[in-house]
Amino acid sequence: MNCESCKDLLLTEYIDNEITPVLKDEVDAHLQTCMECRLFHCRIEHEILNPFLGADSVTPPRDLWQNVKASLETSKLSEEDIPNSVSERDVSKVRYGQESNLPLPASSKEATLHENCEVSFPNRMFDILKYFSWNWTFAAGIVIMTLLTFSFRSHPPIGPKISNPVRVFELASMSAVSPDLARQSLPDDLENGIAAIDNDDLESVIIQNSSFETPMEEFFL
Amino acid sequence: MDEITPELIRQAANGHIPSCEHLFRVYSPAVFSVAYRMLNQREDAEDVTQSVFVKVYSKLRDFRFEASIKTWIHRITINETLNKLKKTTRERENIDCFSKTHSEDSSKNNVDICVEREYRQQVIQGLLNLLSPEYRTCMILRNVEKFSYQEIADTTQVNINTVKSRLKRAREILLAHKTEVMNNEL
Repeated sequence: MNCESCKDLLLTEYIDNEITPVLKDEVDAHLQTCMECRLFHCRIEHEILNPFLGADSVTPPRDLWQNVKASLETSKLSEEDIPNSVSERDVSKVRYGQESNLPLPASSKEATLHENCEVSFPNRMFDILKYFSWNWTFAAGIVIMTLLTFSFRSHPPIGPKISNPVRVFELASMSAVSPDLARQSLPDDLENGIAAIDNDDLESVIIQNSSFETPMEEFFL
Repeated sequence: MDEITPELIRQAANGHIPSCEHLFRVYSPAVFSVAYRMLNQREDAEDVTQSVFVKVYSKLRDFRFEASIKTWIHRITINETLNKLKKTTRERENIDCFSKTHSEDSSKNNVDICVEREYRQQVIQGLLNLLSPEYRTCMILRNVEKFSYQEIADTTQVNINTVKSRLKRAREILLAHKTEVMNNEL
């Protein structure tokens, strides 16, 4: 045992007789060999334990019981003023936070403040419903969002199906100059993609990209 | 200390005045002593003792016999005392009183027994007033009321290791202060 741990024990368990026999033997053995810790032990006994040996119990004044008794009788009288219809136990059962884990709504705070007031059954039910209403609103919102998502997936917006928009844009750009040249210049592996686009679609794309017509025509010519 | 039976506690809970009085006679000295040591004012200690017992009688119906009645009453006492301590602003006065007591340390050799006892009480109060309320509580319960570590832990509702560390720290503070006083005297 080193001096630091010995001093820690001397300040607490050793002088308070809360130390285990094994540790006590270790501390005693260390005290036999260490002068510094022995002096520290003497100092603790002299400066901390001895002053408290003279701590007499301070007696309360004789008339204190009379004051307590008077307070007790006053509180007893005020308890008797509670209407017979609701006992104190019943009121405490209705109080929130004692027998239920529900948070404190405003109406229950009133019940806690006015101990004698009667909390009727419908009020209690209303509070419980109010507590659950937020959860129900949230759940209903999720269900509505889910239904809307599935309805859009099963009925997509109506319009021409374009399988390869990038190629269509390239095609449209070249078609703006010369539609026949565009068709000839496309590689063979895109023939299926081009076949999927009928002439009406191609023309509409050409019209939409008409801004390319003049400069690109001049460039190629 | 007279034995407090569960039957007596139940009777006191039902407002049986002689049982309440018996409970008061048994525990009021300890409650008053702790309150007085904490507050260092008799009037405040009387107020706290009265409010502690009014609270004890009103809450006795909720007592579940899981903890000892002694620990339970002391827990209420500590809570009431700490509340009272927050309200009062007499801490500074207490420290001044201690400094005065210690400055007269060397001139107290030849005094009669009565004055000696009074002086010892002042020394104890002076030492306790050096400590914060948490440390003071542990020191009073251990060194004055002779509570075990487990009883202190139950009363103050902290871990037993916290009790040990608070006692250690409190004693270190007292030793450091004593060293400082001795150095000043030299």
